[in-house]
Amino acid sequence: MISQNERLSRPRAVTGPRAGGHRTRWGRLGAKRARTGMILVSPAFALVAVFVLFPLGFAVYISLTDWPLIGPYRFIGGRNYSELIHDPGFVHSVLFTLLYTAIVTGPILVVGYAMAVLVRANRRGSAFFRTAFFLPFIVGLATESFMLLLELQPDSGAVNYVLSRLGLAHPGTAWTVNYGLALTAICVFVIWFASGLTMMLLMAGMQGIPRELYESADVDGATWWQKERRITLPLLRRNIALALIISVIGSFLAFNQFYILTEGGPGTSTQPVVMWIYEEAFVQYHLGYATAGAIALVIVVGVISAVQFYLLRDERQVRR
Amino acid sequence: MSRNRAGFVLYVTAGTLASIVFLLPLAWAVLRSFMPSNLVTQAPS
Repeated sequence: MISQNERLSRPRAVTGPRAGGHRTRWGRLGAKRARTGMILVSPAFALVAVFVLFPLGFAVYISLTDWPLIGPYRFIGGRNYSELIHDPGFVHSVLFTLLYTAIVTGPILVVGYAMAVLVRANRRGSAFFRTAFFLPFIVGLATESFMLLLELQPDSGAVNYVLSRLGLAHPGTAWTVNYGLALTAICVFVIWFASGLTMMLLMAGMQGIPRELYESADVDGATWWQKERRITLPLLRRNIALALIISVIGSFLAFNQFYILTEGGPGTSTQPVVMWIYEEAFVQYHLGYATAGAIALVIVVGVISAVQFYLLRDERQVRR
Repeated sequence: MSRNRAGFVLYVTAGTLASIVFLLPLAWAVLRSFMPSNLVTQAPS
């Protein structure tokens, strides 16, 4: 019994007097298959075109104008982009976003990996631990940012109460109005929030590693650390790459926690690039200029993701 | 056998401590939501 697909993709001998006829028939079938493929793909393509390609193209167009949100606009070419490079506010927000990304990415991966190691086996209590570690991610960043804002209040917040009891902080410490303290609090908070997702991604990868590899390593007398280094880590490259890319892109697009906890302050010292875009677009009404910043961010995130994909690509892909 | 038991004790201890770190703030927030608003913004006594 040969299926329709197998019949169509089967290579045929094109020799002898009827070879031309075969070729014509094969060509007709190929064209029919291509047409069917096009028809099947067209709904997805239409969705991508309407919701991704058109808005992206329109955003590029807006970035080449002095669009003020309301009122007439002019086409000004690449002036927004040249002004962007010399804008100290934009440059500061980009540098701050890079610093924030550099601080949180490593700890999120390390904490997520440690938790994944702890709960990867189906032992008693592992389902509870997995749920507990993943719960902050489920609750959501905005909700938890408001919770933290309440607890960071001087004199009434739980953070100051606990830290002052331990002798680590004054009860009146104002966390959200000091650059260093605000950045520290937000970084610890984001590591707590996001490591659950990294744990899930890495745990899924770990559970896909064949047990036989660990059993043969046990027979060879390998230690726990040797098994992690020689088996788990190399086979987790793709999952680690995915976790890193999600974490880096998430950090580049950080907005909620900064908007709720510090509003970019004191001054604009904790203003990430997305908040700069928001302020320019919807407070200053410089929509064209803000969109140029957004397009620059899209390019930077795209380049970083491509570099990470390249550096963390699978060995099998390299050999192919 | 005793190595397995030690591993399980370590697993339970680490898992419990980590669970406290991840669950306590959420549980505390739920508790806070039942308090009257003037008590929430009051200095602890």
